Amino acid sequence: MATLDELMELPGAMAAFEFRGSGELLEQRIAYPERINESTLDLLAHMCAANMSIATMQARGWEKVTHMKGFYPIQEFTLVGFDWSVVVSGLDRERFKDRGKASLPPFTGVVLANEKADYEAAFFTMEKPEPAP
Amino acid sequence: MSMIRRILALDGVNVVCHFRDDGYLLEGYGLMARDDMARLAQFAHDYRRMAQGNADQLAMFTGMRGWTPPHGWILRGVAQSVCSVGNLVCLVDNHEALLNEIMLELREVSHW
Amino acid sequence: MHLLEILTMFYEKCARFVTHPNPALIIKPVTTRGLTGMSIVTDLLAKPGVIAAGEYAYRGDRFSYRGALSEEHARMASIMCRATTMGANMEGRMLEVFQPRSGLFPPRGWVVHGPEYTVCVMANVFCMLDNAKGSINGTIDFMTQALAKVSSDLI
Repeated sequence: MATLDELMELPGAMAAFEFRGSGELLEQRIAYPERINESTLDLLAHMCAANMSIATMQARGWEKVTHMKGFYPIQEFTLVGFDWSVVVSGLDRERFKDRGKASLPPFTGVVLANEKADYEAAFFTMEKPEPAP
Repeated sequence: MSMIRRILALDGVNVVCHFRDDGYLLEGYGLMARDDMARLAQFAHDYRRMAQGNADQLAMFTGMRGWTPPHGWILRGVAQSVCSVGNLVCLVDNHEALLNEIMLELREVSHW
Repeated sequence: MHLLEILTMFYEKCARFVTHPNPALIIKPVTTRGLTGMSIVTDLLAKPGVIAAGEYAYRGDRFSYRGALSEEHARMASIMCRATTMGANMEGRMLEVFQPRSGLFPPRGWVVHGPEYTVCVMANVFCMLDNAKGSINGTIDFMTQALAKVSSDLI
């Protein structure tokens, strides 16, 4: 599972955060408090929770209708904003579900400045396998 | 007198707004500043499009009839609710409002 | 009347009489802007790993596409992309009200990353990528630059 500190090392990272499936912000790191604050991250987390849910509904519907596999479970949703992007991942939760665990870890998210954003690096960090216990 | 003012006379209705297809506030009545009414109208417009988009997808994937086009929606909070049908939206007090009656009235007035 | 509008009308009239046998080659012009956008779609399809690309009208149910999708599936993809774009735009506008100049508004697009495929959408153009063969950064950069001047007024 990518830690918030690891996410903050991504190029252009402005903030990293964890949130519940229902959208509540749990923890955050902010690189530029004058440009992004906890209140924005709270709204962003709720927005991202909504987007993950909708994207999951779409992936399930699409796979059912087209028989084209490879979209579900949604690993990351990214919103490319005007100057900034936000990437959120629920992959760790899927891993926990696969192992039959009832208690799931939070979603993770990172806010990136568009000019430096490396989406593949963000996905790679978020999809990094957990170290063996 | 505008027909939508009829809705304001119902129990628990604090605000009622009529908005254009692009979300612009056409008329609004009740206990709210004009700027906030404009925001409420824009929100109702956006929310309608989003709910309609999601309902369209549900219908598309399931092949189930009867969901789309949606007539309206209700967002129920702790003390207040927002209800919308067509291009009308109203803000109601949960303790006083009879939602069924309000939805019926909204539906009727939205046809005018 | 603008030349492209005449061409669009002409193309639409012709399209009524032509049924293309290969679904992967069906091209339906959306609007005048749609025709302009088709060059981006063609460029996208030439990139490694791109399975299909197309564009959808912000309003209404019209779309055009190229690639390995049936017309029905492309129609579904257009509906999904339109719905998510509308949602993202609404969310961006709300965020802007609560937190002005948040840097996210107006949204340029969005990306959904699945285990094998990725969907990238910028403005009204969508692109479906095979993760193993395509470059996500390259695709997003290309689409962002190619569609930077597209106005979001029509959303």
